[in-house]
Amino acid sequence: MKFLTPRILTVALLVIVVALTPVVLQSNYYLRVMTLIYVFGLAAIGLNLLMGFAGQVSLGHAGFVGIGAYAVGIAPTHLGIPGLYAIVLGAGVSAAVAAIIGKPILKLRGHYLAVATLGFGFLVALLLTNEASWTGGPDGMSVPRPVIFGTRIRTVEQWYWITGGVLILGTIIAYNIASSSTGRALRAIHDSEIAAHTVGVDIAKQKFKVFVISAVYASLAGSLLALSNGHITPDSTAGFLRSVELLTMVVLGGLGSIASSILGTAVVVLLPQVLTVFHEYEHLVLGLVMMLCIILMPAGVVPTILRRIKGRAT
Amino acid sequence: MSTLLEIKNVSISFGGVQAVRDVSLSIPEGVVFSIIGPNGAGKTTLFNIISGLYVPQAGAVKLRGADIVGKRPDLLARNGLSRTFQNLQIFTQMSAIENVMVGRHIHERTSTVAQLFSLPNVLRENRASRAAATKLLTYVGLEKYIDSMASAMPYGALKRLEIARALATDPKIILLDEPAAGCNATETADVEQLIRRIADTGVTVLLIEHDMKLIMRISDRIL
Repeated sequence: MKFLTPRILTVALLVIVVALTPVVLQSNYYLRVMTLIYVFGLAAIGLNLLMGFAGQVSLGHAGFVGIGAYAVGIAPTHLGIPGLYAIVLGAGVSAAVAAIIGKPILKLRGHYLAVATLGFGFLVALLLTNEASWTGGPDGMSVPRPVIFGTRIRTVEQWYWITGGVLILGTIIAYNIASSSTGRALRAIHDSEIAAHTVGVDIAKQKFKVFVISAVYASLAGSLLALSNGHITPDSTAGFLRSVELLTMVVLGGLGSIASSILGTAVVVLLPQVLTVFHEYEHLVLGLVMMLCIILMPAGVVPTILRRIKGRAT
Repeated sequence: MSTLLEIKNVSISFGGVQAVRDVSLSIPEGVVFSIIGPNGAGKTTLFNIISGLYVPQAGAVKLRGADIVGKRPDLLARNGLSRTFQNLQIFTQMSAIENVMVGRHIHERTSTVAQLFSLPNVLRENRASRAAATKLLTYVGLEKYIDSMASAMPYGALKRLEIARALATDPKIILLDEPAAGCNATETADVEQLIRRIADTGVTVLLIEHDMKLIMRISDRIL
């Protein structure tokens, strides 16, 4: 059973879930919820590469989600660039911004890095709110749906398939990074920066690289969120709470595991939907459940459950 | 024998404490050179200076004639200098073989784009690194731990794992900081034999050790 690596298992499970969900749950509501899981799953995977693998915290990753989202809003509306190219443009801008801010802030460590990235997130959200002539201000803007091969992509089902496909690709690429020399170097940096440095790992370069990659993941997620929703606001994309939500998805799922990021995302997206039965106490219960998860399963939901299963098997 | 590493009048102090004062030494190629002294004498500080972790306030450090003061540790690794640590610096969340594969990092040259898509050259490189790491783990006697998580390995094995990782860079000189500390008699004998074998391959060994018997048996020169 050696061929059943986490990578193959995760991708196979993901393909099955994406393929079968529309068969089992034939309602646009469920497909919308799954689309959200796929979109934020993508962002969470990127953030996990940065946090779980390299051990670098970002409290402002929604800033890149915002850049990706507004790229597909602004570029077609104001610059006449079609939606699909706008996704690439957004990813390019996010990569460039990550490159520019990454150089200085990745020299910071721990809390200082967290505060610097927090500042970046606030900055993007502020910019999107204040530049109302471009972004529509706090009320947001509508996002024109792109045309692919003469068809305007607008139905819930179409976006379900696109986001599901992109998540599968994003997962495969993340596993590729994890199993490469870059992945090993990042995990080495996480465990002992000094040792990694002395065996020849260029710490600054590796951190920079993963920061840019994770920014592109977040940006793509932002673009897909905007295109599938058709409307964006600064709060729903680049807001501070969005950053916290991404962080929760990664930590709750389990740091350093790609499959966990997707499951963590599923928990964070699904819980509020399930908890609507508590009406006005929904947020209270949500907070309580998350606190309990972290207290009882500090390594993350997935690693803890896997360990239990393994423990029982031996 | 040509000089591989030369240290001239190196001094460093932290706050008011002079950790290393005016140290000079010259290490010829291919020897086992040991540094002895009581705890707190500044031996590890000297190692940290040589390996680029500290920048001395005075003096020069030359590796094969080139000044290396202020050079980053990763660049020194690329120039053939490698080290282990007195307080183990193992990548605990990685397996033994992955620890050693990180040591192959400077020999891995595939581009990030190729890695994103796991192109055939990346897969070849991974296989080559894995093969080299397996060979080194066998060399240091850790073949039974190849796929073990480092966090689950005993102390003595981790000491040798650090040596294997340092050797993975293909160093010209290896700095061993108390490789036998905390080891029992059998483990110490194993370490001694390992150091001999490393020296026999032509790698220069710079050694800090408190076990005087070991030092006397193994060293070509002692400071």
